[in-house]
Amino acid sequence: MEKYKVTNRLEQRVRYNDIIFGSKETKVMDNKPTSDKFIVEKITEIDTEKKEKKQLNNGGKK
Amino acid sequence: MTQDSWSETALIAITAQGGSDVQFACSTETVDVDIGDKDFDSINTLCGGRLPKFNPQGPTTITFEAYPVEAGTATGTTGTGFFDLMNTTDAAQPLQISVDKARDKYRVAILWTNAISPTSATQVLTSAVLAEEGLRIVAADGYFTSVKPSFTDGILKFTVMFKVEAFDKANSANVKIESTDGTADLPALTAYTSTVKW
Repeated sequence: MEKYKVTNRLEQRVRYNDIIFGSKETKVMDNKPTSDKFIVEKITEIDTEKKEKKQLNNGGKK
Repeated sequence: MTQDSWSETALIAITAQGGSDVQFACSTETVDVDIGDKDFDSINTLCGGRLPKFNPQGPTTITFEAYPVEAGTATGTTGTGFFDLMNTTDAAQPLQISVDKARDKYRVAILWTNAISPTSATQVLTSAVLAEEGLRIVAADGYFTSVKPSFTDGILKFTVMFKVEAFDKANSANVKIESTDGTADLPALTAYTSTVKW
């Protein structure tokens, strides 16, 4: 499943569906907001693989 | 200055801290700017003279009469509603904006200009070749204090008030009026953040 790093661009709270983003807060989400109130970056598979490898090296710890 | 007056049209940009300029001119009919008074009280002296006792400058209030069709503005640079300016903004349809205790700072810019096809109240006016003239009122770090819908005239109208102190906590001005007669550029406003007003 694709994941997105979603950052609130504003210096105030923003509501997206039922999720509240604090000022400049970043959340990882399954869906991609279309509003320009957010900076959206797609999390690439390479990043995910790296994270998984790191977790394996740490004995499964996050 | 070739203009005899500014009439008929104006541009209005409302900006959240960290956000883009959102244009509201196309849904707004009137705008009134009540710059805070620098009033004083009179002290009458026994010789018949007067001493002014200065009062601190009051807040500035900007009032809009507008005809938006949505509760707020989910995205983009064209304003579609005002209720999210007074409460936590919503970024997805359907817009659901509840009253809450959020008090967010905004910047309002109003521009009158003879520039051909101006697009934003925050834009640059250039003197070279076109000799663009204009007058701009800017108020930053203010709050939307009132959003009142009414349907008494058979059309949904919102009366919206924006209120701003004359100065911030550090004594920097929150309100300015600037203009150009076309012999010098009027610079564009810088992106509005918690540290940059204009």
